Amino acid sequence: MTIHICRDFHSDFTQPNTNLYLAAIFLHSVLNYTIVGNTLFNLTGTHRVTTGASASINFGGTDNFAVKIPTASYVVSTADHGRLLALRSTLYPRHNSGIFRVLSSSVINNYLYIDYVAAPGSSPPVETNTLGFTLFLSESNFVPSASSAATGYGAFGSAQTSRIVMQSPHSSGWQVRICFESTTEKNTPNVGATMIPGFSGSSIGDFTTGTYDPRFPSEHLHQLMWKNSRTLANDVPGIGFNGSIDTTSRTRTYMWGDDSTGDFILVCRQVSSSYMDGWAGFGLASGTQFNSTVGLRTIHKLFAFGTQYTTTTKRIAWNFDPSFGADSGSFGVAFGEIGEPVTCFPSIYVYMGGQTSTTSPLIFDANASDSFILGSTELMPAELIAGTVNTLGTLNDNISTAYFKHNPRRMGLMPLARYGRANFGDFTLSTDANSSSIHLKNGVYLPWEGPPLRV
Amino acid sequence: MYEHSLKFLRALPVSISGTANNVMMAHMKLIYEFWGFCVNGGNSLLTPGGMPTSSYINMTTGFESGSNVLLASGSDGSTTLGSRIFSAPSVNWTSGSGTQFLNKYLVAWKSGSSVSDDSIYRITRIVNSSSFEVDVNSGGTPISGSRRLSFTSRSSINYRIIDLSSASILTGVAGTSYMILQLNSQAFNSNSLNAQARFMLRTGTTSLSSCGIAMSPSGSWNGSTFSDLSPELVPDTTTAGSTTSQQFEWFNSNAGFGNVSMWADQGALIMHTKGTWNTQGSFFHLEVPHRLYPQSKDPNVVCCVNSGRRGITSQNNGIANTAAHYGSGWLVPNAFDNTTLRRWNALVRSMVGCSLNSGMYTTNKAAFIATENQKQAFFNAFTLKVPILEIVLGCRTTTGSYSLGRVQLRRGAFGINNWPVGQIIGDNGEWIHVGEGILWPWDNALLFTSIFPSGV
Repeated sequence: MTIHICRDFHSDFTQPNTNLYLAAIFLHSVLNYTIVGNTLFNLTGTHRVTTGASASINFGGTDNFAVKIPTASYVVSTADHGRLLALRSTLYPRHNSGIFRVLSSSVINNYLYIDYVAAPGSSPPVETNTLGFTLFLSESNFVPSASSAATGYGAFGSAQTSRIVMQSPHSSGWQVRICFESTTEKNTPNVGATMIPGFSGSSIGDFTTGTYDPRFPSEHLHQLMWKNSRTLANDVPGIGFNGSIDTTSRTRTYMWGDDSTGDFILVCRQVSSSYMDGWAGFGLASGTQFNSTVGLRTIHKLFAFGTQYTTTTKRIAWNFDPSFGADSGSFGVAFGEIGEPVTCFPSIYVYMGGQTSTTSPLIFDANASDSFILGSTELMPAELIAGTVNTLGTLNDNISTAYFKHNPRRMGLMPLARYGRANFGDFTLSTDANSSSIHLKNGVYLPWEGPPLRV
Repeated sequence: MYEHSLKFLRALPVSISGTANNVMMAHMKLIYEFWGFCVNGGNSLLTPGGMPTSSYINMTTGFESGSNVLLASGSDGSTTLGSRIFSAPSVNWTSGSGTQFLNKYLVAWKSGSSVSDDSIYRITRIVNSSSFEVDVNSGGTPISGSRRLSFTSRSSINYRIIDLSSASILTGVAGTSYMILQLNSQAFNSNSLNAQARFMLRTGTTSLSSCGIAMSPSGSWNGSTFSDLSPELVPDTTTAGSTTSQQFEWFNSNAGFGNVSMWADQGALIMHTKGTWNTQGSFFHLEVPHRLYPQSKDPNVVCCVNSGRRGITSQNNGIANTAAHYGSGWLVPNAFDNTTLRRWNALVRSMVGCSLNSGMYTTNKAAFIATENQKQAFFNAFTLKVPILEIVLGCRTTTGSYSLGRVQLRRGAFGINNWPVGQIIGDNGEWIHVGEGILWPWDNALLFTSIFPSGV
């Protein structure tokens, strides 16, 4: 289990297009996901320039940020400037893995100089002939289509909506479908793009529509696709942004992934627009499933979460709240024992009594500080709890048109992310010698142990 | 290992005459007998286990085994599966008036035993010179199938016959009388020293109706002092040793009739008492919890909540409030902050993310669900299971005491208030609901009465 990090990729191009593109590149070229099928998202056919192994990095002096590409694999040129270089490092996955913009090149040495994105004075650890590399066209070339089907779920079947299904490196072969979502979904439920796991993806980048016939199971977490419906609101998490979905704005993207389990989290950090913040992810619940039932399979451990369309300011936060009230707006999905998607909430420890708002968990307390016993910032894992809400957006769920069914189950721990005190600097590394964690916002911490951050 | 096994004192009916002083003495005697012999007893009939080797008690002459208090003892006790008869031929149970042992209490145990027959029973009938009958429902073991309580088949059982009334009228105790319990921390946390807890009588409204509990995480009692004693946890106060809050005592009425319940393993002791002697139930929960911090940072953990006359509630009134509820009255001693009594909170997983959203929960409590439909979120109709949530203790009282989650309770858990008090929960009936979603450990036994017959 190796965690790779894409640190702080800067982009001025359209969102969520760019994040979709970066996610697909990271999954495929860094975490070793394989491609199952696609519609208008031909990652390796249309957008990939070259790929290979045995690249090297850091030749000292003015060539600290040079990546040497084996000439037998590819000959660099000025045409590569502005392109995206994905590196996979097994020696320094939190330093040298990731997606880097090519700034310049040296034809003589067959170097590509990359924007390493770290604090001044930082240099990548030297690697000689150990890096996997893949060169992609700039994100400006990724212009996905959102054309909708006439009926049912809009981004399905013959619909000309850009999507791709990729298979994780996990032994179960679980898959994820990354979809730009059609204009129908962008209106209702107002989600820009989705990343939803499941099984049995098709060559055109879809999972199957749902059925209760056990002979024909449909095992994935995309509620709209499962129900083949366009009338369900607020029931698929994604990378959602307020206002115009395709806002062009400077953003900074961070990604984390485990190349054994396939777990993945993407964080989008706003620079100028106030609504570009958000985080989304998917993967496998880890550890023991409490109150588990014999017979649960991998599908029952899969989850996905995202930041729904909302005006809240706490978009990178543990404020998973089914009511989408103030300071909330994130939720997740899982797969129920009943054989269809259910809601899923990453859950933190809250007071047994006396805590009603999303702003008052222990992590937001005014007295929050580093642990006096540990001598460091205390971090705890969240737990994934499935099937406790049947109608998102409202908790008045005594209605006949509930979108999900109740099927409560404690799934296990959420991978990668931890929660801790929120009064820590935003996008700030922990103070221990190894910089083992980064605080994003609102008590969300993710692993680091990489180079110092560029401000 | 047997020290992991639970022993129960299940709603023992007790009748006490006199004042709140007498009620307190009777409770101290029950704690002494249950912890010292039923839970920790060796083969000695006079020396309790689970206490330091020297000066572990300072109550009054005769409290432990005076002739008026300890009426008989022996090691030849025997019982038969399905029966409520206790046989011990070394004592003539019909001697004297033939009723001297009637309505007295049998304290029964075997050294090293994991059987929940080890408990305290009221003697209800003298059968013959070598045997008597007890109300087995205050202890016993659930019979497979019916789950009704009964003795199991055992021999060479140690026993003490206690006159609780005589113990209750002993004089000579004061507001500094104490008893020290020692917990087997090593059995639950690796490389831990064994913690100790001092129970000290305190003056209540008009008498010794209160009890303060202080803890020594390293078990530092040397016969006269502790080196690391925590602030004392008197019910309903944040000031060490304070008696100024309204409900700082266990008993606020005179004696009469009531029920006393206890749960214990060698690292935990829970007691609940409700009778005519208090307007609402009082309880304490002392245990060696699971440590969540690394052993090198936090080697010796122990925790306690001590609540007077509030019943069992999950309330959290905030750090400035003195009310000691299960949700907000805990103390976890901290060597870095050991002079001021800090309030620790009970934390549970939210079933919907990061809060108790008022649309789903009511009354600001995790146990109270807003609508009937939403209660379906807490019962899985597919698997016929309910989620049982662990309880973690954290602190936010001051910057210097802040903790997200330092320990996890072994003998407490949490659910919702949708169940009645006394509902047995879990695949093996391993929890019992005691109110407001709070679960205490159980062994799937079926009771003829409520777990709290006199009220919560």
